[in-house]
Amino acid sequence: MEDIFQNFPLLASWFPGMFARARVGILSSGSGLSSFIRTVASSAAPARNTVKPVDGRKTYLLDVYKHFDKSNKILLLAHHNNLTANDNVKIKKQLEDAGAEFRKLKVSLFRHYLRASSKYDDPASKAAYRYVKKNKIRHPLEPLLKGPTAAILIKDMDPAAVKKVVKVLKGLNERLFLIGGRLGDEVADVATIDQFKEMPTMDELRAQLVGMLTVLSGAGLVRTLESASNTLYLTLDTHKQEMEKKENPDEQ
Amino acid sequence: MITKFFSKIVVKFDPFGPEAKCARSFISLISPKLRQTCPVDLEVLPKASTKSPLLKVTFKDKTSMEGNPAEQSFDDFAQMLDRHSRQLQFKEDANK
Repeated sequence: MEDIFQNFPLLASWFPGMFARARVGILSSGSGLSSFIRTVASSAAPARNTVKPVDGRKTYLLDVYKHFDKSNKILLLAHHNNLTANDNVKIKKQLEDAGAEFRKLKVSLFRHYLRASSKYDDPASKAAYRYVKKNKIRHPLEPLLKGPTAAILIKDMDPAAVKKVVKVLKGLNERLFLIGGRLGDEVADVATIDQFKEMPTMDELRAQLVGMLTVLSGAGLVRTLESASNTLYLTLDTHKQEMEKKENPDEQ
Repeated sequence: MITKFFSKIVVKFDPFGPEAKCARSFISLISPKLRQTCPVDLEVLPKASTKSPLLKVTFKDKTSMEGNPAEQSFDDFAQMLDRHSRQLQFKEDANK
């Protein structure tokens, strides 16, 4: 009944007695127009319960960090040091040529992202904040976030790209230098990154393995792989023969 | 911190260690202008390194001061270096 009055206010004015009831009905159904808009909006995408405003800068940055972290296999952290505007442009260009992306981080937000990412899908959510604060979550990459830090992002596990990036940074000396990072799922320090960049790429390693198998297949590798099943067959076979002997002793 | 009278800086630190904060905030105070006159010898130590972290500053009058950033805070360093820088500043003003 209240719905009718909502849709047709003229009707309500004809029945002044019922109009009051209708008003109450509107109020009790949940704060009018704004809630209506919210429900329409949320039917398109589920509403996020974020600590900061959903369209705010911090929520946006957390989302961006999440995207970067998920879509890149290698994340190198570097200390950047009073870069001039010229430097910034030049470095960005050089790193892009090397196959990487350069981005300065807002350290406190990135730290929160790292902490929350262990459990929560949405690092900006209230639940994630509560969880991090209550359980005192710490992340192994956190010690690197003390001071001006930039991220160098590489899409694939590609040692060649890392090598190029290291070469670019070497020329920049103390203006921008590597301090560590994440290779795949592993936390890496400078020594590990140095080792990693000298490794052949994944494709090369696979090719090597295939080559080795094809060369060795003639020389006994297939035989060694088969030997286990062969011996099993032979032992079972002898056992079977013995059983047959026991069952039909007359035949012999 | 007065950086005007530095002529050479040596920094060695492990970014995962407790010295990272002090060493990195020290480096971040070197302005692009200072870089032209004051070379920075930087070494990032790996986790397994046995070298001890070091922060060493040589002034224009060739006195040098050093310390361990793991044990001293950045404020301690700033105070220590400023004491000498202020003397140099005083001399410079007197000679004008």
